[in-house]
Amino acid sequence: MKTSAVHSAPRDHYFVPQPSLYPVILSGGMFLLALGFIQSINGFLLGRWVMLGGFSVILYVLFGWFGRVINESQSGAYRDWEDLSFRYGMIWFIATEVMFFAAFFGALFYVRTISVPTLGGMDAAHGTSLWPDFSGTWPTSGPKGPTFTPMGAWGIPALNTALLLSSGATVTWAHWALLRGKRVQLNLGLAATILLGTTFLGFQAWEYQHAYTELGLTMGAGVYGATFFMLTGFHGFHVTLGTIMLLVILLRCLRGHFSAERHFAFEGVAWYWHFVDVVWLILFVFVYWL
Amino acid sequence: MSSVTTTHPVEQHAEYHPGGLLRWLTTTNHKDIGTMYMTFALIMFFVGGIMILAVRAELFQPGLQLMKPEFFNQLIGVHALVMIFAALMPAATGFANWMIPLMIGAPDMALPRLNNWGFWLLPPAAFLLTLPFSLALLGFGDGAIATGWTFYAPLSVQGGWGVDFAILAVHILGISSIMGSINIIVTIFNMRAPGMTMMKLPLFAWGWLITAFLLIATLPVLAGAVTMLLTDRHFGTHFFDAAGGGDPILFQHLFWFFGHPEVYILLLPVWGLMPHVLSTFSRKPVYGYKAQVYSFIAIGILSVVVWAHHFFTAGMPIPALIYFMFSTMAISLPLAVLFFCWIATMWKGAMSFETPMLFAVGFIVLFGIAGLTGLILADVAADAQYHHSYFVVAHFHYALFAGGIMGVMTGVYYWLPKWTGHMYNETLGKLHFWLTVISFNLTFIPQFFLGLAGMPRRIPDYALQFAEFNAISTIGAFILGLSQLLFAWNVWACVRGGKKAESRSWEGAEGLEWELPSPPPHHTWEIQPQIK
Amino acid sequence: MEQPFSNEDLERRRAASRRLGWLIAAAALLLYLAGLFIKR
Repeated sequence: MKTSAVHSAPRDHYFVPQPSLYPVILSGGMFLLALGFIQSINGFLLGRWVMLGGFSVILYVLFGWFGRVINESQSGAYRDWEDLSFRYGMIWFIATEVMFFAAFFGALFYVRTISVPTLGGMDAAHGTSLWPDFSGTWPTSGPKGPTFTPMGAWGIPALNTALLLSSGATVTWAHWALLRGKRVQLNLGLAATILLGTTFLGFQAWEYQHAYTELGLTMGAGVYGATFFMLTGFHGFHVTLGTIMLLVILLRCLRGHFSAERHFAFEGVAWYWHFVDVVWLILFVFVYWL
Repeated sequence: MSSVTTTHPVEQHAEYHPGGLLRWLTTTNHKDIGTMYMTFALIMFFVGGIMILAVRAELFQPGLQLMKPEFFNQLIGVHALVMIFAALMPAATGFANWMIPLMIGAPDMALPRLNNWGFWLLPPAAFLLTLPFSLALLGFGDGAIATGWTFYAPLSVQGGWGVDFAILAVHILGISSIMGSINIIVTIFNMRAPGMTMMKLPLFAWGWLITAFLLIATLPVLAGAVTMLLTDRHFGTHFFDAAGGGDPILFQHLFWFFGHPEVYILLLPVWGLMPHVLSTFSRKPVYGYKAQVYSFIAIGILSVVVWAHHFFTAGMPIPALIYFMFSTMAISLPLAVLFFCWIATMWKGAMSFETPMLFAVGFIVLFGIAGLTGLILADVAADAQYHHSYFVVAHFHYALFAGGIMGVMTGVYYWLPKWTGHMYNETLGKLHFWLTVISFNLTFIPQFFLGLAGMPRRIPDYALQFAEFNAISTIGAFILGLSQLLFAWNVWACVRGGKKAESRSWEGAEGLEWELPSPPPHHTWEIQPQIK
Repeated sequence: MEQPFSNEDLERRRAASRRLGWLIAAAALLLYLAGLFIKR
């Protein structure tokens, strides 16, 4: 606890940005989006226009705020000290995302190991049950849920696994290129990653279509449908975000941004992409396969 | 200095200084943002307080006098959400913003624009949370969330659109807290003055570091839980519906996986600032620095593995009950270490009792009662009796008012001279302390007796035998509420003027923050101090 | 900051807090011992 200060200049200046209106505008946009969303789901048609307004504000801020950050970065405002802040920040942001997915995986494990078997075993354990015919085996839509066919693992999902795994490889290939100053390989690697990500999303859209129209597998198909669509849906949303971020990085690379020493944005997005990749692997095992 | 800036391509001194409202909307300065957090917290403290005074007024006598049960339910739930998310947490974040950079010798928070965003998410979220009240007055919907702050399914699945407002408000509040936490972690890891090792870090920063980790680990789970609630309500999923294979108790698990660490999220910043205050006014170094750091870490870890003690009575296998009972009780070990260190810091010290010290000592005594009554509730067999009774209400108000709010007031009185450059009115401060402590106990001691006698919580009407204690509790609550006006006045007067505060506002105060002038200039530690 | 308390005063306060500490410890011990004799 004993700290005594000797005034000297051991470290260089830290970059503290100018006052900015973007954060408060972003908050306003998010407020409109939330308000409009609440109105929409409660039957007020005006709500979707409020949502559209909020979304436009958010888009405006994303362009403006990130644009300013890119300008600052290009003008050399960020050096090692600031760079390290961004890295720590990104790591802990990804940690929050991990915990967000953990909530849904937790729900999946809970229904599979506790609630569904308990509902199936009511008769045996207590001699009485609301639903004596319910067997409590997975996959299920519950005692009163609609009939459906669960999604098989070895068709589209296995192909999607291969796609995402190779996209993880291509983004690393691009990173190596960046470190060695091979700009063509960098751009090719990024483009390949984006292509693989987009293909993944296309397949997933097709899979959802298949589930809804042919398998009877919907959001309403009990806990199977709920966990299936929430986990794959949030994952797909993250892949979408990741793809957009990769696209921005590719555009920046084409403009000659980033150097072997200074490329936090590239790495941050690459980390995010690997995170999405790992989530998919867990998802493939526990949602599709087992 | 100039030689430093010329090597730098971007001029970083904010020569752009908007005035008036625009200054506060656009600021990237940790002191401005800290001030906004504190001001917002103070305002919402009164908003939440007025809600609960209406509740206490209704409970003054048996029978229904002032409001319908539905409105009563809305008030208690929104009171809790406002006090937790919009008063206590922002107050603690305000402390962190103001003090951590000063204490660790950092030029600002590590991510200043993000910092501003974190604050400006709060007012829209608080507005969303309370908006359904006004909409109901205009004839839209049936008011705010009426499930209590815990959102328990299936009640929340069936509730009105107030639940949707609360879900979205919690999402935005959650994003705000996560942004704040990331910023604090990065600041502590990356912005410390050279020579300040982690084991020289001020305890307040340590307390907040653990808090930030807990927020990062648990708030996303709450976000997930309320998202499932939202899809159950509007998009046909069956997470919390047995007919679809789900389970309402799943919601309780997810909620309390967040909800229990939340208690420590509210308390760890206070535990962090306590040793500073106690050591200052005992004119003695902090006792057991390392023991306190390790206790913070131990409590942080334990807090995420004990959640199910909040619903022992919901039905659980016996081994699970026993595990959650013992792990909960295990938290009292590191907590006892903290109590020991606080008392040992005072022992043999030359103590003087200025207002912050009064609040600190009051905190130790009253928060001790929270801990001891918590042990009673942690006991599975005893909890079957006390669950969902007024005993629980009294217990967690000893934890969150006497522990949380009084802890925050300790910090406010302690640091006000630093923030404003003026000394507050000491007589008024002492009067505020004694009124608060006496009326707080007047309010909540009767609630222990009510709970032991079997009065359930969250009920607008009650049996006649509970009448006397409820009347006493209501009188106490109104004195408690009114005496907080003294606090607001004292803070306001201190901002406006008063005796000039010196850099080292308190004779026994140690630490980097006291080497800066009071109030500190807009930018501090632009050249970092070297710590020996 | 000028010292608001004289050195004698500070010394007196140190002694008082030490005495109070022992007093509280004795009270706690007594309470504990008394608890041993309470039949449940």
